[in-house]
Amino acid sequence: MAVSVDERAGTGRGADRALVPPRPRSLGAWWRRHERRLAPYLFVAPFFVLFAVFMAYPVANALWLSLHEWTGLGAMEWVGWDNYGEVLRDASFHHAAANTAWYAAASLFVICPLALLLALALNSRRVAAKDLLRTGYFIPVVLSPVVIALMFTIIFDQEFGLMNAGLRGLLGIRPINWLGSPEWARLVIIIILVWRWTGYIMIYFLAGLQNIPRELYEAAQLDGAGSWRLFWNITLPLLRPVTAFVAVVVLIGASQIFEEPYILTNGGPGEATLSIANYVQREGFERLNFGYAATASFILFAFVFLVTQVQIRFFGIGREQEG
Amino acid sequence: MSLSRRQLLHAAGAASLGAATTQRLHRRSAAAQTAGDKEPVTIQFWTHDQNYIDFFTARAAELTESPDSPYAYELNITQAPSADIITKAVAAYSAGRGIPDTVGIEISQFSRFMQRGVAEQTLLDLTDRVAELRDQFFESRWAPYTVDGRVYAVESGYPLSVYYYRQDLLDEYGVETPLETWDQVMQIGREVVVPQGKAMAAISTTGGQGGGDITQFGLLFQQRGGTFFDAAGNLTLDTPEAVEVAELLATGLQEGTILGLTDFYGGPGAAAMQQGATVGYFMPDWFETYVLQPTVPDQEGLWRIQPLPAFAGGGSRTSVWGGTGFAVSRDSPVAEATWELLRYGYLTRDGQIKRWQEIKYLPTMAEVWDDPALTGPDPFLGGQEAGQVYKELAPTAPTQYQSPFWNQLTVELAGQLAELYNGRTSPADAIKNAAAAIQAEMG
Amino acid sequence: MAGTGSRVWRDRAVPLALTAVLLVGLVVPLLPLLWTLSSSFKPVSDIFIYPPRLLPAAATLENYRRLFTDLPFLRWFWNTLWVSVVSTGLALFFSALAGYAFAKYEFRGKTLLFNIVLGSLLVPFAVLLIPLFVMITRIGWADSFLALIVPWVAPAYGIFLMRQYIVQAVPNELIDAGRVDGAGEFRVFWTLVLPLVRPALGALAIWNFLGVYNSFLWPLVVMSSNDNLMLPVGLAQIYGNYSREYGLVMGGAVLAAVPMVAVFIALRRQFIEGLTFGALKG
Repeated sequence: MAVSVDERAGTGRGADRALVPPRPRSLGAWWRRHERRLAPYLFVAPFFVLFAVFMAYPVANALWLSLHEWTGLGAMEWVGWDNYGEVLRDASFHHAAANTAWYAAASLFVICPLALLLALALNSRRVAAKDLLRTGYFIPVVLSPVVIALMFTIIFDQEFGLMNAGLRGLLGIRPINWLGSPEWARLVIIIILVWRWTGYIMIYFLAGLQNIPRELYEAAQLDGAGSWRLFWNITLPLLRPVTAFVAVVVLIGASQIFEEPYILTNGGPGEATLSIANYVQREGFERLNFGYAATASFILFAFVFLVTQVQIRFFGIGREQEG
Repeated sequence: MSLSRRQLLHAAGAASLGAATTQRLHRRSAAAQTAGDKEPVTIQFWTHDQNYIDFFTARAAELTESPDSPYAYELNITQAPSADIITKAVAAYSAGRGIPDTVGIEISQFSRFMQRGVAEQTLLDLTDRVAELRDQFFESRWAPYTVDGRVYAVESGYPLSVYYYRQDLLDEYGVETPLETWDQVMQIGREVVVPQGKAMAAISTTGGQGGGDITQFGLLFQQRGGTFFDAAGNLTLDTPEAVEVAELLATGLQEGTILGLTDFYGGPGAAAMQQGATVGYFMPDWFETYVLQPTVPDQEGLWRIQPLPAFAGGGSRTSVWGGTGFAVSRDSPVAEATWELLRYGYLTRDGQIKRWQEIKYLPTMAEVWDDPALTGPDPFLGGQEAGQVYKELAPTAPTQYQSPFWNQLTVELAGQLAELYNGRTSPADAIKNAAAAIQAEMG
Repeated sequence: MAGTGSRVWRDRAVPLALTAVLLVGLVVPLLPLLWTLSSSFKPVSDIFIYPPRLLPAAATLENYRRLFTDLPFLRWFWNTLWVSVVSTGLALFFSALAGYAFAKYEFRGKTLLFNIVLGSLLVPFAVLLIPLFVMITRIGWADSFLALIVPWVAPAYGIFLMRQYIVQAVPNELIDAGRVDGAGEFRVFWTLVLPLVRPALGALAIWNFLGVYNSFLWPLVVMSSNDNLMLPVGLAQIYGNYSREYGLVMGGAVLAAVPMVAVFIALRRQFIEGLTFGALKG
């Protein structure tokens, strides 16, 4: 296919050359001659201009900043790689990294299976009210994290929250100090993540399921395979590309969690729910250690980059990309 | 006098005029008065507290009308929570654009200006401007806004702390007031008040800027004679006094004499107050106008104040917590006019009295305490002479020293206190671990 | 015959039970929303009572009234809306354009450039926050809506999504036919390609709109004056300034959520289809 396009393009150019004198008479003529070759560059140019200005340059700048001590005002002071050593030894950074790892792990190992389960149920041909169900389960995703955090502050309040009222009414459990004790607070953040993202991830799995040819199942059923074996031998393997995509999306998302801890607990109690993004914001804007904050963000970047590379190798996403 | 003050508070508080409304109202009135030959100035006024907006809006109007002032003022108000307003200011200073002309810096936020050279590069050095007046004010309220011996902000109040209590409930239970010692408070709580399903006091266990709240711990710690940092900036947390206070709070929570609220200033805290879940609070002066009055206007007349109950081991009968220093931006194009407004509002005898009358923030100028304007019944406190209670306490208040590491203090201490309040660590360990963690961050 | 019986059971009862379970399960995503909605019609004293009441005892519109009279809520609403619309419109255009180039042209450096697009997805915003803020303030865009729009009008995710979709949905013959008819490259894109990729544009539109409409950290840091706030930041501010008045906060939350929920419900099919297309080929 590509070859035939190129051939036709070739004749087009040849025809132009025959008609137009060697030196282009006008800009228009020059443009017509080179349009095919230049168009793609022009089409991708907006992205790359913005990328250069608002991403490549700031990233380089962050690297530069991470080698300095800077309060955001006045001169920067060169400290070399000292910040990196300090951040890596900083107990607060350890807390933030551990919490973020918790969030990522919960996202991968709770949200993904749950989403798959939901997708399987909703993919069943005989379940009714699918549109309502899909919409209902998906809706949390469209809400602002700020709205979500505000909603859950009153739901998880110790004295007056809906959650404790429910637990007390149904199970007679004593009020739990959800936001005031480290483990519970971390759990609340995870509950919110699950609440917010499961429906979204579900949609991806649903699409993946719908793309698995029915014949595969029918053939296997003829061979006498049970539902469990169908799931294990057909569904799961064929969902691999989707799973890979989802895993990468979830990891990138989880590594950036900011709003939920910021509004719900401000990273507390102590640093029990502090995420790396919270840590960066706090070091930079609260404590005015901009160089130090940049360092922490870079360490996060390096880590996310490595892990996604591993994921991509593992699932072989890159290869499909080329195809 | 007191009637008009209350009306003003109602207009501002009950209707809770948004910043935008206030600003628009004033803009209209200022426009009418600039017809003369006064120099019109627009001041970018940033704060977290509606009371300051009301107070300075009134002062600006007075100066605009006054023949002595060369300026016709207009206030352009930005209101945001106390931490956010400083974040915005820091961002603006860093950008060199959109800076406030004056910004109210809540005391716990001032540490951000203590980072290397920040105050010096952003705020007007007021040291020489206040030099002549300085002796007339309590020195302990200059200290929190001083960096390297230079003063950068003027205190908005004298946050003396007292015990607020419901006279009606205590009468009903047959409890005699005033309560003299903390031991007595705990005992009455255990024997009389807890059986009624109520607590003697409520404290904030979470929320706040460090993901936890150290307000009530800090307040009692300072009452007991402790300081988080000494005048030289060294951490002085790990002391027997701190352990004693931690022990008191932990025991109180365990026994129910103290009610732990996860959202003290928020809806749940308001609900607890409306439902009368506690007969009292130990809080600073601003608690009355900032929290009590707007939250439970219908409980007017039921509340009283008394000096804080004493610790057997020593300390004062009051404490300090909170406060807000107003600073002028060094690079403000209208720095002089802004300073003039600030001086007129906060550094004159007249201004100090009006501040007390209008927004109930206590005078920091020593001689004002003898003014008859400070006497008089407070209707919300059932006609009690609140000024007299505070007057006796004023000279004994502890000094709160600042540190660039205040944020670290809040985070680490709040974390350990949360563990303590949940009964998972001992008072001594909580204090020791918090101190060690903060010390490690201080290097 | 026993087999038929069990088959009837499997065909009828299991799906029915499953449907029932799924419907009951809707409580989980929806209850917090309903609770918020109901709280927004309650006076504060009714929000914190035990046992909690889902329906307000005496419904009041006071919270909503105050959002509009005491706070610049309408202004925030308007800011958020137009910024979201403008930046989404631009994002659609630039994403489709670049996606088309990556899908249908062979050009030198294409693989490298596309990998840069993908790689940029991995940069956590935390890395950009500080240097971007410094830069934005230096060029004088602090507190300007330009800072909220310009850096984000060519989202890498959009380019990726459009490329995946165009590869599949736009036949090369169509493009060639357009060229034979003498259309320039841009006209081919504008008149022939764009109409074919509507579903993906729809999905991307919602996705981008969501992102801009709900963004918090960047607007929090970069916008400062009260009148220039975006809704989420404004909401957080209401929560800070009026923390006792949960009804007000909840009312704000409801109003902020309504447009998104409505847009989503209206366009849900397109959204889900367009979005999944990108994932599948990923």
